[in-house]
Amino acid sequence: MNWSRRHLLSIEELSKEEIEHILDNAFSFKEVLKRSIKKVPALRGKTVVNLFFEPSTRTLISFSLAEKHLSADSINVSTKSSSVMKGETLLDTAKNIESMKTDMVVVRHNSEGAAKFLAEHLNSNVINAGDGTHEHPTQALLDFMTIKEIYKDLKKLKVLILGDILHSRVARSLLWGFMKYKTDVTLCAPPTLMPLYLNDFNIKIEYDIDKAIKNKDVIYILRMQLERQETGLFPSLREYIKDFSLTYERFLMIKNRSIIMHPGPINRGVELDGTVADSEKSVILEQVTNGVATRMAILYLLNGGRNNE
Amino acid sequence: MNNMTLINCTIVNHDKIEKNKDIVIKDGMIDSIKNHSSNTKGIDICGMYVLPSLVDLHSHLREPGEEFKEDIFSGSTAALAGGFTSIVVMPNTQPPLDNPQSILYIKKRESEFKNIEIFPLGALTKKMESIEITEMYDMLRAGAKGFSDDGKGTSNPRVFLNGLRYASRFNCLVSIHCEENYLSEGGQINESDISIKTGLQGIPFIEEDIAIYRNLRIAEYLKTSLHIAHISTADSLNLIKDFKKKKVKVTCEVTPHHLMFDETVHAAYNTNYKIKPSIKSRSDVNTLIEGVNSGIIDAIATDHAPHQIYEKEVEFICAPFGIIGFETALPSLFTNLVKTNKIDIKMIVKLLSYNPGKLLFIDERIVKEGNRANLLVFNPEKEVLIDRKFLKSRSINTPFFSKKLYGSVEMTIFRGKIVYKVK
Repeated sequence: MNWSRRHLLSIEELSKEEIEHILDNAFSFKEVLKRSIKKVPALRGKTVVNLFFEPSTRTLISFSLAEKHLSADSINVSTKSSSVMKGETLLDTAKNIESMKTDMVVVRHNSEGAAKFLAEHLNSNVINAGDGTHEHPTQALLDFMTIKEIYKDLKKLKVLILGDILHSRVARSLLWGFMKYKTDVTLCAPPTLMPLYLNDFNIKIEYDIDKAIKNKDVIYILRMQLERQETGLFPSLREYIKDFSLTYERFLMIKNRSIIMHPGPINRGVELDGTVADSEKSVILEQVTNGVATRMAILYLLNGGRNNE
Repeated sequence: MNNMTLINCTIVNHDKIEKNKDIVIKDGMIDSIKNHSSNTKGIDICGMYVLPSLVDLHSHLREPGEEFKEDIFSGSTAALAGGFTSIVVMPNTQPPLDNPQSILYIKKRESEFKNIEIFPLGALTKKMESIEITEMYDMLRAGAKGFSDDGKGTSNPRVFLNGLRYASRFNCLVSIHCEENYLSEGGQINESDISIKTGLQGIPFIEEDIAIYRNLRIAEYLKTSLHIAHISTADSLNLIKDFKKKKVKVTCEVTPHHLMFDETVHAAYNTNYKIKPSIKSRSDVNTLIEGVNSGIIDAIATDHAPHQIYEKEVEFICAPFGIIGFETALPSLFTNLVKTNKIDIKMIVKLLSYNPGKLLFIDERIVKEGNRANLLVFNPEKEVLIDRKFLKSRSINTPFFSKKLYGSVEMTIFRGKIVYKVK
């Protein structure tokens, strides 16, 4: 297919064909990662800025590595080292950076719509690396890649997404993608962490985790953002763990060939038992590997899908 | 001075439309209205509409304190360009208008500008903190038209009860912003499918009617009149309808934007739709339009709320609430509601001029002999582009920016004097 997008802002805006196209490229780049010299010249001479307004380890390293493997020159800007703290607006920060002649901007921000906002105002290609509670498209794409490596056809799967759906950008990106694949999706969370309006998504809601984990091919556990407890949405971490954590006892009840996923970083002993993350059913580290390949594919496609010479 | 004749007018009042009229203005008053005669000399209106000039029950001119957004001169100029010659300004300036001196300051600025009537509402509580009531008697003597803690609402019900009771002996307007702050805190837009999809924190719409119910009960208990500012939901409207049936002396207003936009506009994260109360569902919009037509809604008020472009061109969660409204009120209502046959032009005149005039106890807003010559000329055929040149406000935070609307305010007349005219 012909790739025409200049930005990657959400899964919502992508067609199923576009998702497939990204994943096809990601599988090719995964082959590159297996080589001893993991470098291709696709983005040689291009400058990428990783503009991170929220703390991140995994996503930032993943993007940085992807950029380096593609031979791009990249720099990382995080809130601590930028002038944001001095009261400069996001737009001013971004325009100043672009004035230094950058080609691509990878942005993570705590405000929903921040990536779209930059895409509207900058000439650079913009990649959304997570905007508030809106979307985290590259995470969902690497998740789909990981699932495809095991199951091939997403349409026939039963998927459970477990945890704080309401505040999760990962959940939103996953939902949009799964809807496009017509996957059977169940959500499980305390009612206060479940969105009140989900009319446009064809999903099931189950508040009882023991019922929810039955017969699922994929159990996707979201990270519990511990600071949420202060907002009064659930009474205590202890009760949350009892009621919604994938404990070892529950782990023993899940389907034999199902897989356990998590976007990281995991809170061992909170949303999942400390040993479950290391079990043979866990593909959490495979997700991380696929993250680099997926981001290489996205950078490559947004640059026009050709090698720079 | 202040004498002129407008010939060939289509007079649009709240109750009737009369074509081919000549209006003779003497000493700031409408001296006579006659059938058009070719012998009469004067300014040819060419059949365009002549309306009583508009009255806004709700605006923010940002002076004192935030003159970089708007001041009394720029805001008044914008009001005149929109056909408003009488405007209520809210007290949530910096510092708030919570004492007689600050009211005197506004009245002084009004007299410096000359060509408009400005009616400040004083704060109902000191610093608008909902702790102590203000010096209302003295503020009224200084020129206040009434009281409000707009922008917040008076959160403590006992303080509000006392404030409303204290004000009840005066002939004044008490306007209340109804928002249950515990429910709306941190929210960006109406809680719905759209808030879930965009990830923007939702505000449960019941926050408005919960606050309205409290305030209506207080007014009912005290048997006083009360004005509810900017309602936005069907439930709010139905509550007010019920209390009106019970003969509670309640009036209410709606903004032009709540009569036309629904929450789907938020998909693009445009901060020029970020307002309080939030934009609601299409069914709320339709119910509010019915509320206008059935007479439950008493007034349309702009809630003109200027913010600089660099304050709005930021992350959605960082942008301030509010949009400007003086210059687009009449054209947007005409384009989206009159031309689409949802609301009659006479009803628009009633809600933008006749009714709010009565609520402020000012001159009768009817174009007729013996009344003050407070008028506007409106060209229903002309298309206007809403751009920096068109907008007289210091700020341009309107969702209509760079869009076209039908209907143009061609001329505004205040006390028989042309105070605004399209070049």
